[in-house]
Amino acid sequence: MNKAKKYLPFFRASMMNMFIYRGTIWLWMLVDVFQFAMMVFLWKSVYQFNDVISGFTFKEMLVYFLLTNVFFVFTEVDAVFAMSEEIKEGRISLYLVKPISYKVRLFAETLGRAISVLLIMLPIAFGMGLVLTLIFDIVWTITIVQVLVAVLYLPLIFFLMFEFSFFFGTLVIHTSNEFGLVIFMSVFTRVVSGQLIPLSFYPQFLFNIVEYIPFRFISYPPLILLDKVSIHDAFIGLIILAAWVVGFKIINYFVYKASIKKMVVFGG
Amino acid sequence: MRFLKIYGIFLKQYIKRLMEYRVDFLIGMFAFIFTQAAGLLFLYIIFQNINALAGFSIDEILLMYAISLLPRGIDHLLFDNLWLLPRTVRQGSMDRYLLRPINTLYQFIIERFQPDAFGEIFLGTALLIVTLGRLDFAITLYNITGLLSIVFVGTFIYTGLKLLTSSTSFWLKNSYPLMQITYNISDYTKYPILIYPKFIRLLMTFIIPFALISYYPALYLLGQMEYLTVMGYLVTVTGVLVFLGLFVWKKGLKHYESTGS
Repeated sequence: MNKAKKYLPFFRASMMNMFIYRGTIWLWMLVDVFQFAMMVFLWKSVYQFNDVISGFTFKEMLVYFLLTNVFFVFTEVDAVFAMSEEIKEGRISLYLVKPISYKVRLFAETLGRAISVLLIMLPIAFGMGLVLTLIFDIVWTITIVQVLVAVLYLPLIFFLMFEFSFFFGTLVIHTSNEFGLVIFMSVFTRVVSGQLIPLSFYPQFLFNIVEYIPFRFISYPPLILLDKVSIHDAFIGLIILAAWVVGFKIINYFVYKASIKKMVVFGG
Repeated sequence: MRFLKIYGIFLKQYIKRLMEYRVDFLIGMFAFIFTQAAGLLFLYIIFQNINALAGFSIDEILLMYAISLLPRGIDHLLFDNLWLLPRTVRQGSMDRYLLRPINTLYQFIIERFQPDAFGEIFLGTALLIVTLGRLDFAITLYNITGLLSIVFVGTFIYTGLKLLTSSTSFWLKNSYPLMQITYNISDYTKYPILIYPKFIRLLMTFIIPFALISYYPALYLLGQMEYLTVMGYLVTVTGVLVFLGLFVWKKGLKHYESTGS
């Protein structure tokens, strides 16, 4: 308990930091809302001659994308930018000499940011849900059990993405084009997690690949709420996902250890 | 002439940098290829389930996609520094450019050459060649010149819009969301604009006119629209856009107050 207490100030500070910029965050969310509206038109014309595509109706598709967008807050882990800034400016050395873990502190900060973005976002998401429901007559059939299981996924997804982005963050020690790395990372996640398009749309060979990597679990919460994944499968998924998180943690432990030795900090 | 000479000097510096940081360059280029490849994957998957989108086949839509990548890439290559304008203004670093005896905008733009853009340019060119081949496009000098001229003028749609939106940073604290929202519209003009309601179609043709470098040129290449009509629209709209951009930039520069320090 005492150990967690050490990191609480970092968590709180980064949350408060985000709330200062809530105006800017709302503006950025307008960009998302706009993109969502354009997607609706695109999907509408895709569904022009089909009622159901790969098991999804048009309405289910809209709900899927809305929920995916909300849950994706937990995957937009910006640890890479934070790390690259600290590494490039040499500030990392200040953290390394303190009696706190570099990684845990980063985790506390990233979590703080994600939670505040979610809080700032919720009213907009509810608004959009309401508008969609009214325009397209969407009937929501969500059970309490589904919500509970979906929520269980969120911390694990966050852990997974944190480890993933921490891995890329350590790569910044070796390259300086972190912008390219972040683009690469985020496009990759979008493609293999089902944010681009539900994974059931993928042709068999792609689906086979995606099945073996853990990112498909990122779209499990929306799929659970849409009743596309049974509660039984969802629980099995939770266990597999947890195993992956542990695996990533182990890999990162070694990569970080090897990389930090290579790092050179100038002056300061 | 003097401008070209300065550009030459700057370019030489970039190339030196590029050789030094080769891995960075490759990462950047592949990141952008990868981004566009995800878009293509999306189209491919959609077309596994449907035969046509608003009456256009996959090859025809890929053609729109390919044409749109070229002006985007060229603008990205040459005028990328405009993305940094809001930050430069906020930090008061504009002073430096104002003090030098060359056109301020020119100085600001040539400060950055963005080779990441080769990802878009290579992919766009490859895709264009493949789709034109599949659509049995007649390669004549007239057609090629037509296409190249559209790409050339169309590049300034991106530049003009970026200049216009980034120049608002002289008044606004943060003009990134505005820049991003206009830029992102180009992601949606890669599809036939017929899928959108009328006011969005008008928006995409005249206000944020990315359809002029995807949908309309594709209609021209498919023989459904006259070259002069497309070019007429393109030159007029782009001209107005660039003029507006320069106007706002000039006004903004006068309004610029630097920071206290």
